[in-house]
Amino acid sequence: MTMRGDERRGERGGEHRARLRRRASAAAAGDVPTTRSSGRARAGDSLDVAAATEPRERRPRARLRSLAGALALACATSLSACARPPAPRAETNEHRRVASQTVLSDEILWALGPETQARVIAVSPLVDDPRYSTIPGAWPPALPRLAGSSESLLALAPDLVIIASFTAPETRVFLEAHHVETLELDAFTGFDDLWRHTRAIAAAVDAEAAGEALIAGQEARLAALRRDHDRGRRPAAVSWGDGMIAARDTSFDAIAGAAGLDNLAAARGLVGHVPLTIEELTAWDPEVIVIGCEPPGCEAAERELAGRPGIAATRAAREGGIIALPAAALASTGEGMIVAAELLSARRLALPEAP
Amino acid sequence: MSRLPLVLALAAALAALALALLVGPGELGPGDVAAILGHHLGLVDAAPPPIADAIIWELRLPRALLAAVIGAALGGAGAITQGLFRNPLAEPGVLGISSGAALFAVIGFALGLDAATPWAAALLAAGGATSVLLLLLAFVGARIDVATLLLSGVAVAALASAVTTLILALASARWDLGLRVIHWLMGSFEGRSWGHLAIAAPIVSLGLGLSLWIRRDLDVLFLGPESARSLGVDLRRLHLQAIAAIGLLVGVATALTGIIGFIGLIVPHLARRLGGPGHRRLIPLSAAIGGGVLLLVDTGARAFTSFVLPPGVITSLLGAPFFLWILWRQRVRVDGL
Repeated sequence: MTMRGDERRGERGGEHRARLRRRASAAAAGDVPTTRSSGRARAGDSLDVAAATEPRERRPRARLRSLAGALALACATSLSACARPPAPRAETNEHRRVASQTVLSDEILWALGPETQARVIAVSPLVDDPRYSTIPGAWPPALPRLAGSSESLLALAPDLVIIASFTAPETRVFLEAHHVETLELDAFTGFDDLWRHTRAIAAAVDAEAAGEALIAGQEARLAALRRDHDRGRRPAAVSWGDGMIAARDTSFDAIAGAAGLDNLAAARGLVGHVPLTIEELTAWDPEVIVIGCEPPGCEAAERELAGRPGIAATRAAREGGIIALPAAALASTGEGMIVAAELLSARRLALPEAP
Repeated sequence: MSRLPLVLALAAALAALALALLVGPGELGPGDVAAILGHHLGLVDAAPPPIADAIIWELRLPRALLAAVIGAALGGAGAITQGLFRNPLAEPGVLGISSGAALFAVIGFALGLDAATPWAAALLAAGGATSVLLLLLAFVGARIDVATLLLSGVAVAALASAVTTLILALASARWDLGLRVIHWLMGSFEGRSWGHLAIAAPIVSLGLGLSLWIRRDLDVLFLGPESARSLGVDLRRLHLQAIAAIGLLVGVATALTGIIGFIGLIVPHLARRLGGPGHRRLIPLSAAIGGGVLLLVDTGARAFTSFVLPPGVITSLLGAPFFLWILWRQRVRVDGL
């Protein structure tokens, strides 16, 4: 029923747009005489001659006419883009058709339970990639996986699209132009951001209670980790991959803290993800080096890094401190962070205590 | 007197190597570096601290030697390319040879061939460089003028870049591949070790040896194809030998370190000014200067920037204005005639 209603509304909107386009074209034709413009187009080479021989005082008028024509065309285009009547905005949080454009929102929407899942009409394509998503294969295969295609997104008639601060500006403008409500997730630096995003998404889909339950469960898991590491020494750790290191204000900083480790890059005053050469990493001589891996190849990844020139000399390589975690958990800004912290904590507890 | 430029160039390259060993993290002074090198050469008994030893012996020294070898390869390849096309603007990067090598190497990455054997990327890149050279020679034929040559090079480079982009677009779901290719295309010595040097050294030696083998024919070719033929030069064989040498040199350089442009343009010009146009001196001098210049570029990139600046970016920043300057000088000469 809803789809039929939307289709009818879409058709009416299409007719309305066509009418507006016709009116705009007529307005443009009125400002710029059709005969003159078509005559110019056909004139070809004689155009320059005519312009050159035209009296000087007439040239500004011709320019004004051209300018008016261009303005009319621009107005017509804008009008046609804005012609769709505004969609009725939700007075409450009654978003029935939600499209998710980030892996984090895909994961949160899934975790909020079946009622929320039923409202989802599209998820991001990376949701099935085990390197980036902690729930590959969870969403039904029939559900569209969309990214970068605003038209396909609009065709699904969503009333809420969850985007991120890194979503292409064109997509955001396109959605706003079509009066589609958006929820933008804007920071991904740790557990506080995760819970802020969880609350925002839960509120948008009328699932506040489920959201709070989710957060409470995550807080309890982190509290258990804190109890394990309250009194222990905190080994110096780095997260390193593709020549980049995760410093302060990154999800790894939160993961390392929860797992009883000190993030060496943050301790050295670095912020965000910054490049670091192997030479510098070797000179830092960390006790723990955390890398991402794709199960079941995690042990092999640890062995490969431990034998790499330079790295092999570090304390991490010599004392079994090279730890490979599933990439989806290590790179996660969602519940995967807690999974990563638990895995890292277990490995940290198995490390030999320094004298 | 005739060997002085080469001796000076080699001495400068050695000085650049020493500088490269002293620059970097770890606060290691000349004494520390000398002790570590002495230990590995059997001159010093005391074992150095493991971290310092790893930094100098496992990371910095092979990286510096690889930069010197790749610089020599690109310098030598530039000298032969300019001799083959009889044009000072001819350079592997400008002619699209590097882009062709990069395309083949990216195909290797996309198919995962580099995981099978470390030689795969080098061989594929050599194949790409050779293919582009053959294509260029077939297209421009015997009458090689600057405009045709440069435009052909631009077109070939654009084609190779387009296909590389197409591969990346088709594999857009593989973010790791995209990231790897982008890093690799910028040209870098980061993370290179003795293993890379073991691949580069024999191939570059072979390429430079082949270049020296054809030095006399390249000198004669400078008089023009007709004169060279009348003086007994087998042009077809010369072209094939030169193509093989350039393919080996550019291919291995591109495969191991990515695209490092304009070394093959700048260095032969410097070498020609110091040692004259004869290829007997030009090729070794270009190799020596190329090695030293690339070492300095890489050392500078490590020393003066707080982030990891790819040397390929620096060579392009320096080389592009140099290229325009040569083009401008040529125009002034033509206009003056």
